[in-house]
Amino acid sequence: MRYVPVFIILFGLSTGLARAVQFDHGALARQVIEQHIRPGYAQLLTAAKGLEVDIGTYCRAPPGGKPTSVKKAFGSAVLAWSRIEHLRFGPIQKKSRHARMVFWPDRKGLGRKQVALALRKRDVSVTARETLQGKSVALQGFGALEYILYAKGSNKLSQLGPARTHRCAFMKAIAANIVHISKEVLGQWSGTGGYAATFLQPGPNNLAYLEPKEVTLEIAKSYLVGLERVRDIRIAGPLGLQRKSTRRKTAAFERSGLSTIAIAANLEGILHLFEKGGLMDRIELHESGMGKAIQNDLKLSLKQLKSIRLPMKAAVEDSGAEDKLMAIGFPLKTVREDAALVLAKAAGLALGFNALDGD
Amino acid sequence: MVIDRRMLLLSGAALSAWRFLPSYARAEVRELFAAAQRDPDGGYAASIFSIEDGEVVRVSLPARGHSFAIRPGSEDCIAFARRPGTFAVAFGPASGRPPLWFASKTGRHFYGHGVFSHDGRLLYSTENDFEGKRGMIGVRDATDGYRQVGEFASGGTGPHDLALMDTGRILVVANGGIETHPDRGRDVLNLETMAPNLVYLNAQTGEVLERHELPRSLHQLSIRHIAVAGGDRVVFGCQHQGPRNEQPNLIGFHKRGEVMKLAKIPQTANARLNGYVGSVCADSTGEIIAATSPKGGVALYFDVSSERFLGLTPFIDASGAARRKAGGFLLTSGSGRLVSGLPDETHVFPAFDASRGPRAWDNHVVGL
Repeated sequence: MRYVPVFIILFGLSTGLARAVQFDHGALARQVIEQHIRPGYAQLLTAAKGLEVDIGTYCRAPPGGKPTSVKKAFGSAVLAWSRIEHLRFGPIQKKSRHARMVFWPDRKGLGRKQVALALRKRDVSVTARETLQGKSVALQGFGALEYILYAKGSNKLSQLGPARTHRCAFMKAIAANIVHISKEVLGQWSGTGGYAATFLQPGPNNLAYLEPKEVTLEIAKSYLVGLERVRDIRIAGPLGLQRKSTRRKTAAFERSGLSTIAIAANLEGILHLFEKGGLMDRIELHESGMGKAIQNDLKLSLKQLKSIRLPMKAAVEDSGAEDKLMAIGFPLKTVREDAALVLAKAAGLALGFNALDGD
Repeated sequence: MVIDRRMLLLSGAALSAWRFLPSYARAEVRELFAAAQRDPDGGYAASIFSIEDGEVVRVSLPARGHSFAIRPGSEDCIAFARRPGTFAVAFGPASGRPPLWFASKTGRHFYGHGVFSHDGRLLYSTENDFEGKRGMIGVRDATDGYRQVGEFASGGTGPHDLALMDTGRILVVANGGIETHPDRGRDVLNLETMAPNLVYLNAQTGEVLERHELPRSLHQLSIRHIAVAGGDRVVFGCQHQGPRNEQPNLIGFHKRGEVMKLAKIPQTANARLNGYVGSVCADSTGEIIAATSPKGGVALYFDVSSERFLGLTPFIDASGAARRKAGGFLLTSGSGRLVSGLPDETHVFPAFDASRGPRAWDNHVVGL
């Protein structure tokens, strides 16, 4: 009998090792690039190009018409971006590209102030992509475009005059900037060079990843931190539930009424990473039933979020919608914690409280 | 349960430098520690506890806490919010006194660390003047409800840890070099230009006495945590923000007037830190220091005078390290464990109050 515990320990070790070996970090990295990252940035590029074309068409047409097509294209591009907003590593993190796409949270309304000033002064430096990209990040992305299209004074877009000419040129420069950034990022992830090579070939000479499991950690962090931001910032902020403050914070894209569906798109993107990126299969392999349970909770939360047909500002004042927002707080927490637990074990990742976000 | 763990890397010479009793000795008097934590239910708290009796007093916090300042001559301590938090709370194990809350002033936030003047009257804390983009040291009067009585520049960007030396006349500050803004959460805003340093300040006037930087090639090595060991030698632990394939040593020893440089750590030991030191702590003799890494799941030990590596304790999500009166260290982890760390043996304590589920010990633990 004395040997039984030893046997159990050895057995436990050997299965643990077998599982560790089974976790194919390289295959996960390839799957994430091919099934999630590249398609995500490709969709963003397509949507951004569509936006650029629609702005061009609208601005070439005689004044008087409403920018309906531009607003529609703007919405598509915002949603395409929101679906990959959780990717915060690689080329999107370089050259402040992430912040240049969307500068949010913007507690002091820097974006609003800077765009309003540029419009008032008819600043020419914001009317060409080449000069715009050197300006404040708050002037360069979706937030600035939303202001031009939706804020007070947006009616000037449809009125003949220098204000329309300036606004059109500013919008074109922003759209061109978004296209340019999307192209640069997609380029880095395409082919066999660029950041794709960094991601797929960890090793002693790699600038970002020394070991294959560090790539897996990057992927896992995107999922975990992405969910945390959706829950604790995007949803809890407007609900006034953030621990630091009970003041209800303004959601992103409130002006265009896209706030709630942009958050749904955030969650959709994270679900896509989970399902198509391969995290679900790996979790399922390690702990049968867990991958599907997480998927189910994510889908239900998404469905709930999509059923709210109000932008966040109105939703938090509507008891039915507010209840729905509150109700998804719990599943959004468990899908994060359950996945972290299994991934930490299965892939041998340091996903501890302090390891993930120490100081 | 005692795990007697002879460390593979422990050399004979290092052992001879070891001054403690060879085996773990239980402290005769109750020893108290302070640490922040995340509760099993997801809330945050600061608590004072003893290893034997568990929690003695706790204060619920509105958000994640970080480190503590212990008031000399008392068992009172200050729990600071984790950056970019703005709250701090004074509390102690003496019953009957309600916690005293105070906040950073408008335009500032705390970085999570503070220290008392030796007479216990003044509290110094690292703070961020985020509009002015400069690090600050806030000064508060403990005898007047922690009213802020002054502040001075920290001599760099992103001051994190600080300590007193030279019988309390000099403040040494680790300016991590990282610019952040509360609007951008914890994002690093100046990765390309960051310039961390170690600064010695006159604790009374704030005058910069010495400012030391590592060579320019190491400018992405954020100097974050410090401890003052024997002979006023400052030990610093760093977090590497640069390329992963650069693996600079993360620990250094510095004495005023000397050129600042990193310690010679065996490459295998440095690699265990995984680019990240979570805390550094000197033991009760000031001759041994511990450096933890949650990302590496390890605590390393060094002899201060020879700067030699002594050994390590593997410990998942290791982060807090506090000196123990009887020698060695108490180590805490994000998975809720408490162990007594020594280079040549590790004693695992049972988690107290475990029935509620594991609490996650936050970054630091400090002995009262």
